[in-house]
Amino acid sequence: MKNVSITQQYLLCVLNKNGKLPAFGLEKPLCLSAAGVLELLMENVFALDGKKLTVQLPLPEEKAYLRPVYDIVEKKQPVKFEAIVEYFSFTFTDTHINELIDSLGASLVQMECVQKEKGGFWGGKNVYIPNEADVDSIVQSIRAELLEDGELSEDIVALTVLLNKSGDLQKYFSAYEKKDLKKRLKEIKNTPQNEMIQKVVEYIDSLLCLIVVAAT
Amino acid sequence: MSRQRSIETILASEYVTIGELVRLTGTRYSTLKFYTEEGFLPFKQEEQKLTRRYPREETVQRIAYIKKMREEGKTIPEIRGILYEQDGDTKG
Repeated sequence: MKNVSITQQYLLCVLNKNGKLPAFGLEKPLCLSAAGVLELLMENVFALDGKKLTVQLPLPEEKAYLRPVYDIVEKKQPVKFEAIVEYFSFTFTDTHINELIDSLGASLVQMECVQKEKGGFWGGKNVYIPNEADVDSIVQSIRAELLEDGELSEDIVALTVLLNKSGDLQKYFSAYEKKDLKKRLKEIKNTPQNEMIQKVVEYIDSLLCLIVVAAT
Repeated sequence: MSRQRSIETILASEYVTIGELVRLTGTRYSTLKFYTEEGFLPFKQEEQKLTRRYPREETVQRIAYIKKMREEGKTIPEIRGILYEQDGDTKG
């Protein structure tokens, strides 16, 4: 019975058994930073006016793990959503995304959802081994909403679209359930109330397109 | 569309969703779904296709009771019999 936010939940779901994000692929860092922005938008700490983000409220104490995201938006505001996500994912070093992971990781250590260890090539990097029971609890919550009739909560919609975008959602559903999942994802896409979340997905899509174009 | 409720709010609510029962009891969704379909967990549903609402206290107790019977080695048909008998007594 833990109050784990969408950014914390996203990280728990994408960390591998060694407590790291996979070394290759930009989708997960991109979606993790997008989750941070989205969470602060949903809490009205940020506002999204057109394509630009601004700070509306001070960072609540209980959201201190999102300090790296808050600080960069505060410093650069008004700033494009893409610029913030790029700041965390499209850099030559992984300093910025590691700072966000360490901040989230520390909050998850406090909640006993992960175990902090030293890892990486030289053993100098922090890694956060996810507690399997906590990951399973998140997965069960997603399944309980997506496979049931009725309204979906905004948090589950946000988490679902981000996990889907980084290719991590399908593994939680059996082949038999995938038909229902597809139907639900289509429903999420066509629900006008999900406009803000859809906007975030569009931004992520355009960034992923840029990566493909740059790589070819 | 609403936000996900905090644990504190859920614990103060009379009715909860199946997703909230997952969070409250740590029971897997598929297990709760199976118990619901077996009629072990009574719920309210205003219309078909709308969210099922379970009375929180009663359902959490019921899930704990079923878990205890499972740990004692009782089979699902045995549990079904026990619960139907009890529910029948309560209703009668």
